[in-house]
Amino acid sequence: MNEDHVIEVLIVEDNPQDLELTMRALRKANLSNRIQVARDGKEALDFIFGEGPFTGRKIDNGPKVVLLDLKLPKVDGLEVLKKVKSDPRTKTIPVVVLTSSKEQTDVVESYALGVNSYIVKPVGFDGFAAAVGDLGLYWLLLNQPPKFGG
Amino acid sequence: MPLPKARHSPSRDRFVAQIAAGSSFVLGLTALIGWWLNLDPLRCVIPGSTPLKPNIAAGFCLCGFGLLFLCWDKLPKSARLFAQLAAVLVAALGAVTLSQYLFGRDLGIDRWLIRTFPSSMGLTNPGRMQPTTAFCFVVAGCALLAKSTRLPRRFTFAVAAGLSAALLVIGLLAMGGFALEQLFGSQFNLLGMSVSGISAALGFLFLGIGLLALLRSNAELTWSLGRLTSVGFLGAIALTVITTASSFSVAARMLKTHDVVTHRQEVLKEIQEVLAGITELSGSERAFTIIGDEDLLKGREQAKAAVKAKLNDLRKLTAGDPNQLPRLDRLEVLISRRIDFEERVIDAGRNRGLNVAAQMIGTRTGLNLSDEIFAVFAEMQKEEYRLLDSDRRDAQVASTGTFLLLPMGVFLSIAILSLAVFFLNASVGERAKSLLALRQSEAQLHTIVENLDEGVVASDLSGRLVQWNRAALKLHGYSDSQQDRRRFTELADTFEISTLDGTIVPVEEWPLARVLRGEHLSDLELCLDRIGTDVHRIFSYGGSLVHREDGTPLMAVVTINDITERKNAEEMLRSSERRYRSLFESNPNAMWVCDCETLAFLAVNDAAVRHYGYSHDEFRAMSIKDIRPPEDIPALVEDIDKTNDALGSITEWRHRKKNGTLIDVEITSHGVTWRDRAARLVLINDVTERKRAEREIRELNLELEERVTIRTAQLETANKELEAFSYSVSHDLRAPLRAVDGFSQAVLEDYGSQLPEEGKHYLQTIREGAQRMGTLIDDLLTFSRLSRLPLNKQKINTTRLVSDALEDLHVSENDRKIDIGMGPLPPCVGDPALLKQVWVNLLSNALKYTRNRDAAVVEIGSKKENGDNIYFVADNGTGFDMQYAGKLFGVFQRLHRDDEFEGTGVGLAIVQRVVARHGGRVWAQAEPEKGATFYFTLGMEGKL
Repeated sequence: MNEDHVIEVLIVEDNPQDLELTMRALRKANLSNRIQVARDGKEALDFIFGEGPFTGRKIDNGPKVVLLDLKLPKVDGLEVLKKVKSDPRTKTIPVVVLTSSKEQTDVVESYALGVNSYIVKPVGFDGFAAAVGDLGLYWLLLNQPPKFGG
Repeated sequence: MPLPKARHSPSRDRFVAQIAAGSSFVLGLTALIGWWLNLDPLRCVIPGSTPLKPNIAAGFCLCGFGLLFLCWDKLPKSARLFAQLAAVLVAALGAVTLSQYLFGRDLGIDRWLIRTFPSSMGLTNPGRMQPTTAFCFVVAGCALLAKSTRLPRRFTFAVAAGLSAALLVIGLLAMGGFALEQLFGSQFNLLGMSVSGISAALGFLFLGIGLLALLRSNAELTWSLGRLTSVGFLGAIALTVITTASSFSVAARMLKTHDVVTHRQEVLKEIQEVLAGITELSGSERAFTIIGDEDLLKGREQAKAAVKAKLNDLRKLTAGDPNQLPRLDRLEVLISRRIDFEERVIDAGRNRGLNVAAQMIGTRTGLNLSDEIFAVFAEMQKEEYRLLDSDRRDAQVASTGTFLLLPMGVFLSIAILSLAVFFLNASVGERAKSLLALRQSEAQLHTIVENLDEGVVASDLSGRLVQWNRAALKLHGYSDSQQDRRRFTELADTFEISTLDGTIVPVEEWPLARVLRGEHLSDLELCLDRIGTDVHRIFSYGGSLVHREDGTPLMAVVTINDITERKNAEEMLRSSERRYRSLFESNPNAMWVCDCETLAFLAVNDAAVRHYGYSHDEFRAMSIKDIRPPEDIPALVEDIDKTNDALGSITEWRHRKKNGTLIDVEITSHGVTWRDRAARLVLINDVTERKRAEREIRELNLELEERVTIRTAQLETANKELEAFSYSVSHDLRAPLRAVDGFSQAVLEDYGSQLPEEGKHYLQTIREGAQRMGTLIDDLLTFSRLSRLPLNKQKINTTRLVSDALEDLHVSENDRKIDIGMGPLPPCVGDPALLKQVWVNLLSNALKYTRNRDAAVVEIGSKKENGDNIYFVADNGTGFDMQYAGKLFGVFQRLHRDDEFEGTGVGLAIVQRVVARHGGRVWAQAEPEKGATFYFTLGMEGKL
């Protein structure tokens, strides 16, 4: 865990295999610096809002992008999304839902809550890796985030 | 109403006329018989009066005869002729007699019947009737003539009535004069009329009465002058009579006075002559005494006789003067003494010498006597002169009176007469006006009567029908012009009248007969049949007698109203009422009639009695309120207030039977009139059972709904569960697959160089397996979703849908040569998403299985068969063996090996599931290596 360094990516994933694969993909894309992992929704929220074990972390240092899985224990992915997107301090943080659910309801709900994009995890790893790589490239390098603290 | 007496009036008058005529005739005849038989009592007719002159008697006979004829009811021409003849004769008789008087001729008619007359009747022309009588006969003759001729009524009537009245008046006056004369003396015979005795007066009286009575009996004579006018006339006549009478009496007095004066003068003359006689005597005596000649005495005896005679005359003349009588006596005594003295003187002269005579004269005895005589004579003369003066004065007065009275009376009479004339004129004018008004109102009345719908029939008192109005004619089947004027009794052969129940009514009881008897009819309902026809009508008769102003009945009037229609309508109403009553009574449903205001039961039928348990009487004592449960009564009151008469208002209420059971009833009611009260006829339908059934149904429905809801909820829950399941499946199942694939790839990537080919192959296989499983999972998910999701049916532009599907499949021209032809695709109705999936699946299959062809041809189109649209996708790909066509659409069923063509075998199953859900069907036709065509329809529901 990086402290006080600006975290660029927050990965919220409970499945260790998926997590490992995601990390690998990011590594392959040379985007594996400053990655924060949260294993469930609560951890994610604590991190984002600087609470719990992360008390003291500045919200302004928020990640550049959040890769959010939906099926999470404790606090559900959509909950996290909602919380993030409804709080004026954090709603500008790009959130990308990265999930294996193709359910339309999830899609609709996510967008309703203000998700920035919704990616379905392909089963094949190549695709997965490509997706993650693209994501990273896009959100970290291409996309202009809002300046924090402004 | 008392029986009218006046009905006999015309005949009574006629009877009177006949009696009068007969009396006149008898009068004359009696006298004539008396003359022929020379019997005095008969001749005089009325004993004690003068005999009736034969001409007069004859005249009366003729008049009476003529009048009798005229009294005949229906005067035959011969009778009329006789009467006219009689009248002419009588008039001629009178006229001729009058002419005899006027011209002083004797035409001998006075003796044509009788030659010798008794002396009591006078010497000159004893048989000639008095002029007044003659005049009366002329009048009588003219009157009779007028009555008997056919000249215009106004003329004849005026003449006849006027002359008859004149006769009557003359007769009355004569009788009156006679009566007065008998009672009070002859000076009261005011008019001095001598109508040849009382018998003649009586005769004329009879004639006058008779003629007037006859005129009255013919209803020609009615006294119609105004009272004032009549009084005026009578007054004028009376005044004329009085004036004439008084002037007559005055004139008579004048005459008498004249006589008296003449008488007085005669007395005076006699006195003078007596005086002269005596003077002559005394002169002769003196002369003798002086001369002594005897010749001087010659005339003496004659003179003495003359004096005596004159004295007697004087005595006669002064018989009525009591004053003169003693004087006359004295005078006679004195004269006789004087004469005696003169005789003695003469004697003495003769015998004893003239000197002695002279001496005697010288004694003055004779002279004294003469003086006394002259004194008495002077007294007498004075008396006479005095009386003469007073008589002259009387005469003066009388003549002055006459002079005044006569013209005054005449003028007064003229004045009153002219007043009367003007009154008459006025009343005549009024009469004319009122006559005109009467005529107008009569015409109006006639019009009204004619135009009535009611029939009106009038008859005279003998039952002879005089008038039918138009309606009456029509009702009896006559034409407009047929006025049947027979006596109603004769109508019995044309009509038959019966009562409503068929009893024949005899003619005596016919409405008109009853009215003639004095009954007043009203609403008498009878049937009238015209014999020989089938005219049968029911009439309502009314009628009564019509009276004149004085109460005498004039005619009978019967009114007829045709009530046939009404009676028929009544009968129909009654029978319909009976029918309805039976409907009411025998209706299996309870029915009743209740009063709108009091809500009381007016009538109930047996079904109500049976159903509710109350008896008829109990019902009638109750009102609707007693039938309702108490809590419903306010609503009842409100409802009744709102209720109008609209037919068939149906409401539901609860009623309570006698045994307390509450029942639900459906009330159908509408307004009726029940014996003039506003009421409602109510039909009660006991719907308790029905309501119960309804309630049950409702409950069952609710239950059902609940169950359905529950079931639906359950289904929904199941669905949700399935959803969740799918969700978790899709999510959770894939994750490990990803891991498998991912890590295999990682190994390959990281340690692939260290692995032999087989190892790499194995890893690759692992990867493929995992991917395949992912596909399978996706397909399964899709498949299950398709079964659950509800169809979102819309109109679909099939062409566009197919284009979208092709786009989804990323078909681009650059790829291998694929010739995709699209024919016309008619629009349809269905779920666009699902149908798109269908097209996607079919098209992807087509594309997939033509992969090996150099020139892939895919044909997309549709055709019509039996009204259905059949869409098809045809390709020239691998095709399949039709033998295995049944397996085509099974889940996970494949007709090709996976190494030939990949696939999970779910695509077509999805197609089949979707199409089936749309109500259509899908099938395919193919040949190995020749291509395949897949057809599908969307059924009737899918048709646009």
